[in-house]
Amino acid sequence: MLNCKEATLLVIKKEQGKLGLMNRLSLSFHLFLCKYCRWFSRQSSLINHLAKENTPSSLSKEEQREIAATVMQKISQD
Amino acid sequence: MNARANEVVKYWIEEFSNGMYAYALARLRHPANARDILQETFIAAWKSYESYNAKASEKTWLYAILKNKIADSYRKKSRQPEELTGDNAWFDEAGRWIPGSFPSPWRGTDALINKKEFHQIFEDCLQKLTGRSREAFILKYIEDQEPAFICKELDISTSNYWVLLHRSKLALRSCLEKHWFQKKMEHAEL
Repeated sequence: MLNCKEATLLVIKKEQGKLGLMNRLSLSFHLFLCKYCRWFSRQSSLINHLAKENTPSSLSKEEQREIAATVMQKISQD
Repeated sequence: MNARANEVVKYWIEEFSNGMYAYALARLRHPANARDILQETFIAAWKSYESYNAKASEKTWLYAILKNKIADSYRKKSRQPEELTGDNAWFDEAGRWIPGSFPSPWRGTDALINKKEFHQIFEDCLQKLTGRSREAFILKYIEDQEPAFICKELDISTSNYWVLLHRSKLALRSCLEKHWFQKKMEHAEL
């Protein structure tokens, strides 16, 4: 019988298709009985989805000025 | 010499810094680190500017330096000992959830995708991940890299790969719950 620590690790492996038949069955059985791990599993796949959506931002004018100032300071020190 | 440097660096920052920042941020996922890397890149670029011979475009040349700096920072990080916030933050010795770390059901997840504030929380939580857990998470879930590539990049074994991803998921999940879902519930009750 799997414990929750093992079950949550298997959830991660299953998402990546890296789980054999026996482990898949043990995991299903655990998830059937354990609502916490069931929630973990749902939340884990939501996180996968959100991670892909996340877009990087750009630099503000202020940050650009700071970078320029630091770079110039370092250059003139040498 | 300084006046010339000033002129050149200003030009680089105006022309290329936003694109280079986005590139660095996508890999490092940490705004402060991405800005530091950018500074190091421009300093290194100025130092070797004399040997730059316009065979490659200035942009290609700057990106090559940036890529090297990012690769260096990965290598430095994987040599640092990993801080072990550990799995025992979530589970007891028998591998059961510790009371207080029990996941709770998340409500209203369908509406999240377009929510700006939520994405900010997501980003903040991502930044709270430490060391190689964060690198592993970014490479896998944001950049969608192959496990073999990630193990090589971070210099880790396959079993470490799973441990790091497991840990990063547990930490991120718990952070999102604390800073978003629990707050939402408090608001709903008021």
